[in-house]
Amino acid sequence: MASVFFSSALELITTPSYIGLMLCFVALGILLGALPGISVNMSLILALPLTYNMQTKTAMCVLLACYVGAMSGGLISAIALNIPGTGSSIATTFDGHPMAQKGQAGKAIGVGILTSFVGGLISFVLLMYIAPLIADIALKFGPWEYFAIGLFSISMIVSVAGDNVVKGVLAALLGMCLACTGTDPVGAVPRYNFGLHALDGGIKITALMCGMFAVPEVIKLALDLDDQSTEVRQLEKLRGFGISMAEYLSRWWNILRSAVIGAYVGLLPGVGGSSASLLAYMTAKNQSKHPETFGTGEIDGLIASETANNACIGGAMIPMLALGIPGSSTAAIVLSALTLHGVQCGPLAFIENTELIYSIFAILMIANFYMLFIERGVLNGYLKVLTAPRRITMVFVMMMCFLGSYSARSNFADVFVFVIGGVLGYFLQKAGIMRAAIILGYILSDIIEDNFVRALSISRGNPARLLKRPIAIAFLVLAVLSFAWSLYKSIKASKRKAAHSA
Amino acid sequence: MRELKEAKSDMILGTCMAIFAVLFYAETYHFKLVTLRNTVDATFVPRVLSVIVLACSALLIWQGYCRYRRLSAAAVEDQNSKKGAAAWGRMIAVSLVLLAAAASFKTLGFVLTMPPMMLALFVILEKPERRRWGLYLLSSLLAPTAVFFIFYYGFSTLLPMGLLTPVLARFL
Repeated sequence: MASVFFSSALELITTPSYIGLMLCFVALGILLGALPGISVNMSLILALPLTYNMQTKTAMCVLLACYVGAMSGGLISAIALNIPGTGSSIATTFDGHPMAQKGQAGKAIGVGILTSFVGGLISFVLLMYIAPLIADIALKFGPWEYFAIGLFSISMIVSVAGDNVVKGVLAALLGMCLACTGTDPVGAVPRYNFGLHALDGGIKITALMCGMFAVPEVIKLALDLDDQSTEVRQLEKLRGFGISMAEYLSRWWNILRSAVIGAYVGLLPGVGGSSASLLAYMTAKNQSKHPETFGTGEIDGLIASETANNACIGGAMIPMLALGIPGSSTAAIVLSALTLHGVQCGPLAFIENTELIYSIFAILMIANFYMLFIERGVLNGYLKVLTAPRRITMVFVMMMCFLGSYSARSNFADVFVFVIGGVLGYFLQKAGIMRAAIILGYILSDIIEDNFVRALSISRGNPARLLKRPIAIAFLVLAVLSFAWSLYKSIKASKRKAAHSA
Repeated sequence: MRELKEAKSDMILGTCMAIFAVLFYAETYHFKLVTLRNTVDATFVPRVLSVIVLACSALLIWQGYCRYRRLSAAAVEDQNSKKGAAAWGRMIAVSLVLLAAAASFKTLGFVLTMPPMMLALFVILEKPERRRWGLYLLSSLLAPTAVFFIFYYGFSTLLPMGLLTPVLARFL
């Protein structure tokens, strides 16, 4: 195994065509990921046609390099503009953007880059050696377990959604309601399309996310023409990654724990990076000695989120390669590219295509190094761009959001979703509803409903079968505990407020 | 004063969400259902969600009302915190510009829709004395055109051409 991996890696770092291609596509991925409205999926979809006439290994170099670059590039817009490029960058905005507003944009992005690299590296090493073991555990996850993990993630959202637990629940439920648009997962019954066929496919997450995060920023700028508080201030050149090695390594437990959470959640089909980064963020917050600093520019929050979402990349590859089940929508695109090139993923892939499978690990690993060097190399230049007046950059962001909303599936209705979702997002934010919680509720809705319906069907309509699934019960108990904890904190906060105002 | 506003806003939010929940529930009666064995149908999850949303909304209204009753006696109306009509006008203008761009996106295409939208946003977002017309005009004309061709030649993605189809087709 190791020899195949190292020979593949050696070929990749000594063949000029591979070096050139990977450098170009990591850079392209970073650029696309950094543009609001262009998601990781869309970056891969844009790169996919370029691989049609390539050999399988070369095609994988292009796609995976773009994947690693885009996944990391998303942190730039999340930190600088408070607009997450992807669902997995949502938790990055919680502390990354407040850091940028405090004049630490360079440090936030630098730490984000470094920790993305470390997260990716840890997950690739972990997964290379313990993939078969992890795949065995993942196989024990059935629909009841996925349903329970979905509910557990919802309870996590509620706990990050601020002091008022009712608003947290409402935000997550609103996201789930929006996700009901389209067709239902089993009977394909059209729901909430109001006779519009454009809504048959549901609301596209890219359009909704662009709207909810970008439009309110523009409206806020329009409301106060004198407000300069949202400008990113970073005039000094950044040295290193903005953090000393000793300071970074002192957070080793947070880094390792977040990488393991990311790799493991990435492994679970359909759960994805948004849950991973949120779980890692919440774990870091709950285990911190100063949980109250989270959400105000706490570096540990940023580290947890970015480590976990990049650790997800390796995790998502395992079910795809070992079982033929894509762990995320992005992995589904990579899987379709492999199928296009005649590679059949599944248990036999490790025997029939050993070299290619380990080449994929090597490509991911090397792309991760290229990502670190390229992103760090252009960071100071990018910081200069960030200091451009926000009132001008946000107009360009609007153009990119229009483009991203439309081109995700060439549907004009998505452009309306972007605008209407944006205006709605502004009012909801004003009313104290956390937009990130709506988006996360939307993402998790599919996992919860699909798996609940499937689980009930497998159990012949008997929900009591859940009691025979210990892993599912464990997650449900955790969900109840997490919700109870949020409720306790909420009551405590409202009592404190009442005492303060009295 | 801020808390009083928050309490009012909670009551408004709760009422809006309650109305939404009722409508969301009512709409499930319009689903064309198919018969499924051993599992729930397409109305189950939306109905469960609407009931929980309704309950949470009622709770939010109650919370807001209690706080409002407690705070309203002591509060004094703060005129300074009110945003001017001009600010709200700009907010409505931003929304209308975006809606107009969305509505004309199919007919006019990317290259024709984006320049007026960008120009309008540049103007709305900046004070009259700080406006840089040259920069606005140049960037709102050049950026969409450049992006259109970059996406076509770089990524083989054709953005909507709309009215410009005969003109742009010559270059593609």
